[in-house]
Amino acid sequence: MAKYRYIGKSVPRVDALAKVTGKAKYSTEEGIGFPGMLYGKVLYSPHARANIIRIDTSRAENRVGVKAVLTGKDVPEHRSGIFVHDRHILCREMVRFVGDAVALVLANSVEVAEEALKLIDVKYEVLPAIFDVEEAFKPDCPVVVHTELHHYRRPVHPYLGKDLPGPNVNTHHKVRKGDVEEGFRQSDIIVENRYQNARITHCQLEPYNCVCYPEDDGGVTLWTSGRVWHNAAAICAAFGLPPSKVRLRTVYVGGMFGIVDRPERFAVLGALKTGRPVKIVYTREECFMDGLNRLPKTIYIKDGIKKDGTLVAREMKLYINVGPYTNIAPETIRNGSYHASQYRISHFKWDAYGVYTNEIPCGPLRGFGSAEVLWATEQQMDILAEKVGMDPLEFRMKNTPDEGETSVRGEVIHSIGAKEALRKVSDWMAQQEPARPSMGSVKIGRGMALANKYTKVDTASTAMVKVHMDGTLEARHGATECGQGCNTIFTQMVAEEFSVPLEKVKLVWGDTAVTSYDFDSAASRSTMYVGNALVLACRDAKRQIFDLAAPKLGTTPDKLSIEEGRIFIKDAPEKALRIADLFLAALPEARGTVKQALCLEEGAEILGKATFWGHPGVEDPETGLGERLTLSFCYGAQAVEVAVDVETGWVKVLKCASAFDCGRPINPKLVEGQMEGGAVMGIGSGLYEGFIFSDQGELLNPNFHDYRVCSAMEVPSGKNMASFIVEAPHREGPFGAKGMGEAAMNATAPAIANAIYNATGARLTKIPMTPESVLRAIQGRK
Amino acid sequence: MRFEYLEPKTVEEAISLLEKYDGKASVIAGGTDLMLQMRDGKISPEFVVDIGGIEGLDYIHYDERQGLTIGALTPIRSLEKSSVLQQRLPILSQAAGQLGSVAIRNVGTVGGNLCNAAPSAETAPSLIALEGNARIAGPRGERKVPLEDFFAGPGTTTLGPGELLVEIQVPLPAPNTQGVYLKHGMRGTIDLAVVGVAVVIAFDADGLTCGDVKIALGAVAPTPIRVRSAENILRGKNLDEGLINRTAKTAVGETRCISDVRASAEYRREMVEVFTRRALKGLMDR
Amino acid sequence: MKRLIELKVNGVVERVYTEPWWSLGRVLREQLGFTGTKISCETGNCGACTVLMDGRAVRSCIYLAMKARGKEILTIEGLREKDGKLHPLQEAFIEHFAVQCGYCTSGMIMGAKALLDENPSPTEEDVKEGLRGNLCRCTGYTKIIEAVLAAGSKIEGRG
Repeated sequence: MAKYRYIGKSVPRVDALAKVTGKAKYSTEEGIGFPGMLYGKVLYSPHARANIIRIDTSRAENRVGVKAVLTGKDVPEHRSGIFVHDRHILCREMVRFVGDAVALVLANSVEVAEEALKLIDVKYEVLPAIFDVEEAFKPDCPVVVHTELHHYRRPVHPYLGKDLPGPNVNTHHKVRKGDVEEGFRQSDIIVENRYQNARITHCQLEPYNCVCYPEDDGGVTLWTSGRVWHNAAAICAAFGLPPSKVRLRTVYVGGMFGIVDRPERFAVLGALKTGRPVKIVYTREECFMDGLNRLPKTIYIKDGIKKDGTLVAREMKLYINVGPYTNIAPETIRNGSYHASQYRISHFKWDAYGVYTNEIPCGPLRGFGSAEVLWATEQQMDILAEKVGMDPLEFRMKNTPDEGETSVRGEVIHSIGAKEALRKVSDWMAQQEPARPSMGSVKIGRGMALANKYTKVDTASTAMVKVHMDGTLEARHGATECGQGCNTIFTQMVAEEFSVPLEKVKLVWGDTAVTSYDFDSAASRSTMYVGNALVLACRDAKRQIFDLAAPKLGTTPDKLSIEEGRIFIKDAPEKALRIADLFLAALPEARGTVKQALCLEEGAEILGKATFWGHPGVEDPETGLGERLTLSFCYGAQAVEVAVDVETGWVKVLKCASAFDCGRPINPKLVEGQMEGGAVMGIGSGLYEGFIFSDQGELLNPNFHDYRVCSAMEVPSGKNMASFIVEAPHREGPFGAKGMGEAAMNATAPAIANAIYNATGARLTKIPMTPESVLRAIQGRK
Repeated sequence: MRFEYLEPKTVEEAISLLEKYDGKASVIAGGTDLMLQMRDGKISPEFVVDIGGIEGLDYIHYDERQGLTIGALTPIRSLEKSSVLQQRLPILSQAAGQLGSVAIRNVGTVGGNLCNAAPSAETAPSLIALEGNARIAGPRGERKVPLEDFFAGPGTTTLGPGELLVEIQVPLPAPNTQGVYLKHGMRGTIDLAVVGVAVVIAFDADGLTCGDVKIALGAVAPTPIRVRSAENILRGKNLDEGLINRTAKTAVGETRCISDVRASAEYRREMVEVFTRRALKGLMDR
Repeated sequence: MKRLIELKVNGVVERVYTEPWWSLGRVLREQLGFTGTKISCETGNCGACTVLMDGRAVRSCIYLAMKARGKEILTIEGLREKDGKLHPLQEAFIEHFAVQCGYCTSGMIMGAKALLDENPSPTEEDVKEGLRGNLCRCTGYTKIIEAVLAAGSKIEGRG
């Protein structure tokens, strides 16, 4: 392994000081006290499905302090969306879920805006709604969520499928590998099951919020609590604005986990219509209702294995309740297929259907479709292992592929630490003394699961590195620092590349007008994509430095090197220049003036630039197979020990070990932080979190009382929380690194389910595993 | 949320304001419940009467003859931390310590917890099981009402116009009295109770025979309730497993559980049995 | 109608206009510029808005500013010593990687300060119990608890 100065070192986070002193700025702070600021509040539909007969806004408009009340007639006529263009900014003719946006009030205070909402009179014609995904899937479903769907804009895309089987089906993603029927014939044992998961939501602590300033050219500057580049694209599409007129800004984001633009489009609408700046901060209830949560999946799975434990065939059919608008659902639906086929399987068949219903719409959430599928497949693995009398670890090891093998999808596997991860968590758990039950009704059990998450191809990131006269390297990147620590590892990478102290690196980010393009801070991609772009931009900057320095040193650029801001001839290190020597500034300085010319004689400045594009391969739309469908995979395993109270169904996770391969870790403590945070989010999603709806589709628990995320109490004690980094350097990663933030929560829930089974013999097929459902499963077994 | 803010300095002043603005005013003590209700639009009082500035309502007095008195403005955290309660009536500190988080307990008051009248009110079952009384001041003087009769339904009390809860009184427990409060939340204590069980038993001099028995339950009926038929089974008997199981089963019969986002009625009933049994076993094995 | 009130924040008396229904958190952030205090759930559940009042942790999002008159309020901005030296909790949060997105951090540190002031040598269970009302969605708490325990020992060692 190469000797690095910063790579692989747990240097402190570059943003930690700002964050522990309360100085770190979030978009919630933007625009406070700004003169002329308007505050926006949205009126939401109380019905799951209804025609809007008329809206009377006159009383609200007459309220003192109200600047405008906007409705569907004020929004762009076209619908927009990432895949299927199926959503207006405000509903025009119909509402499709409890919480659909009907009107927007802009007022000079939050209080007035809230009061004005109550003065808007909407007459609805309430219509029957559909919530059950399998009912909605049927070709003859009496409720059609989008009757005009065939007229909507819809890109031709392998994820979306064609010849959709029902009027509410918007996506059909399929994978065909081998012949599953033949596979089942060859199998000795076949296990079929149905699994379900719930809608969960991000619960990032910073509520969705934004401030939009209208600009003179008809464009906008928008401060967002989300991702700048992703949201810029969404705003451009929604309003038909060119990218040159939409500037997105943010400094720090108070948690992401996949959140996308929500209040942003309302603020832009308000600012464009009124010509005034608009601030919108969602309440926590709105964050739940309009936050685009995780897609719930109903999963049918059939597995065939041989007596010796070889996994032969797997057939899966999934119905995904996307709610009334698709957002990023088609891609999320497709993602699951990679995780369902993480083992060696000769025959694999996958059909995943995205189905419209009148439940709350969904979006991306940490893992984008992976954890939902692993919930089913990783329980299947335990069930299958038991059928052939194998240990769950042994069974997984037998079916886990190795480096260089071809995956189910046709890719050559590279950088896979799956087996080592499995071994690490199992070994650790085996060394631990099992907990002693605190009372007679408590049973202790252990379980494990394997998980993966891929980073996609066919996206690009760019970066720029400006070299200041004092040797400071100003790295401009388009990623969003949402706590994952990207700014820290980018600092490490740039310092490493230039061989300078960390303090010599300065980051500029979070502004689409200043930084260059980045596809998105999503899909665990920033480490590889933006990291690579930064490294390449550093090299471009060095090339420029050497070009400038070579004539001054009487040599050629290829003979030069740079360290600590000192440019020197490799074979004659005493011949050197300072970076400042390349600048014109040296001249007036020599003449004793105060003003300096901080520029080059020609070409203005040293500015390294680079693009990193993850070149795609071809994906066969009929089989879903291809040689290069992904850029990298992070594999990992988790093992847990749980206590189950068989009289109450109460489950507590007592021990949790995680091991993930992240290529080469840039900052091990940050990787550990992702593992711990992921595991705890995984515990929450497994045991506590889930939307609860009334039979009319109203969300009943949009708050932290009744939607329960883990508190410190639900987390195993420090000594019982183990994290292991598996090194599996990736040839395309910067310094061998790859992303791992999402995978970290993917194995937890099925590991817990397997542990509950181990403790009680009861199998849970529905998530979350509430005390009541655990108790019923235990009682059902008797 | 908009209101006029009134800050009486005395109980009398508060009473006259509440009488004057009857139906339009809400009392705020710590505000940990009221602020949420106003924010959600569940209530929109025109006047908020902040009694926090009234001197002399924040105390815990324990007297070997008079028993225990607690001022209505005493923070929940004080109950939890009170050394005299921890020694004399630990069930109360135990219950107080299970309410929400430290920061909520610092601000929320015992009077507020009771007047908010949530069926799951954390302090109610133990105070009822200890046969606590509410001392209420009103336009026509003071009155005393057993806490068991203080609640009228979810979110409502039997306080009349202009009346204010000023003190909770708990009679001196008989010697050999033991109590326990158990709560079942979905994650643990941070959640609102799905079931709360308080059991207080005054054992006879032998330390084995149950004398007076009180069992009070939270979150299983429109108000916190006593389950007398269950109590009666134990009176005069020595605790044993069979008796405990019968008592726990009987307790279920007196509940009126509902299904909500936290749990189904059926699950609540099962948990009443489990936790009543566990509370009693705890006292048997003490 | 707005009322002029006096609040003592981080040792300094501030005069400020407030509507009677405004929360302490809102006044601290929007009127006085102490934006280190974060507002997240507005139901007292998450703890991001935690400040100290007369040394005790309170939820500033559901606490009326009117009720804070005459009390000593401490926010994250007031935690550093006069000479700019970080509080041991701040140091420990940096050292132990107890910070990720940072939105819970101010409230978490203030909650932890109240905890350590009351009990300078807490056990791991004490810390969990004391901070159970402060939610963090990023870190999984492990490093936060580690940091609080380390800060406790550091303070004890000095004291």
